[in-house]
Amino acid sequence: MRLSASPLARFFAVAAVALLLLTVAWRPVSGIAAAPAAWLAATTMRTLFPDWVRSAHGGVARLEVETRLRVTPTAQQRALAAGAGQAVAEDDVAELVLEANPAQPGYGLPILLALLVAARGRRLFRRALLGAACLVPFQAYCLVTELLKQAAITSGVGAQTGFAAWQINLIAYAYQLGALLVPTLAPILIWVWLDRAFFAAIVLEGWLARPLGNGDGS
Amino acid sequence: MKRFFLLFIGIQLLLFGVELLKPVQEHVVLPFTAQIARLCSALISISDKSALAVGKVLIDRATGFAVSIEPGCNGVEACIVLFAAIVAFPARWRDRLVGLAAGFAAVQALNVVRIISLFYLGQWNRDWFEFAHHYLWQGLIMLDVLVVFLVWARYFPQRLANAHAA
Repeated sequence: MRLSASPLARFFAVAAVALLLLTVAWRPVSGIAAAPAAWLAATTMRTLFPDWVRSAHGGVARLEVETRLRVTPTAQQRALAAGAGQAVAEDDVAELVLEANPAQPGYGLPILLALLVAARGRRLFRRALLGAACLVPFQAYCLVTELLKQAAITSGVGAQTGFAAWQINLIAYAYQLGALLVPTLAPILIWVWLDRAFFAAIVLEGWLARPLGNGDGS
Repeated sequence: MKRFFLLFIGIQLLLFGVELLKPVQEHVVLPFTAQIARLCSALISISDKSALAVGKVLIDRATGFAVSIEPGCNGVEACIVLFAAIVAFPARWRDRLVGLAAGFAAVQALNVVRIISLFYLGQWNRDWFEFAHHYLWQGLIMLDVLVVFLVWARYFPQRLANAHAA
């Protein structure tokens, strides 16, 4: 079979090239593209955790959450502060500030766009906008779980957040999910929904063309 | 389609949770990751004798540059996504097992290419290494998963009389 005769081979080739080009093009504007997710993550943190979140700011290339969680600087941190010309005494107490890079989970956008381009569906621009909007909550999820992981697990002052042990385990699981799976899986699921006609044509036509069997599957 | 989707998400969340368990990490994931590092070292050594694998770390003895194969870089999560999709798809178990074995091989083969490419990219240019590591290869691996699943679903499983197509 010639390569051009296979819709799957063509789809894969175009998607791979488009992914490369779109990821390169996305990188300089990743901060702007991630601004809605940063805003949503900041709003979520302010709304869900008013007890220990003092303020949260999300925007272009910036997500910062000021908390009421009190930390005592370590010897290493005091030395760093001294190196920067800031005197910090041993008994000084600081408030924890959480930071996340909004662009970090944002690479789902070029994945989604590459799949849409490769599937060659109609109304590409409209579906790209819709898909980008659908990605925002998933990206915000990744950012919120990253901030929660910092507050509840890696800061060392997680007890002040009031989370129970099972909630901390849940945060750890949710964070791993947000760091390892959601950024790449969400664009694919959204694409399957947006291009379900293409998906059905690729999968179901080949599948339905085969004769019925007496299988043991479900 | 709804049944497939719900099964896919459920199986995936379950497998991902199992993967994170400490005994699974200690006795399965870390030894597996160390084997990937050894395989990469062996492949690189065909043309470049400076590569060495120590546990999950791949080191260039000449330059001192090293890459550690961390979660997300060992292909396990990508395999979980693929396994969940294949198991959720209406097919015979024999067809599923063929898909699982071939899919595992396809994902891990591309992942070895990813690790070796990053090993050299990191020694050439740190900015391009970061870009390829954090963004580009993540997408390419998941694209590989999608294509493997589409190829398997289109060409391999025998159609079942009791299956719901959509």
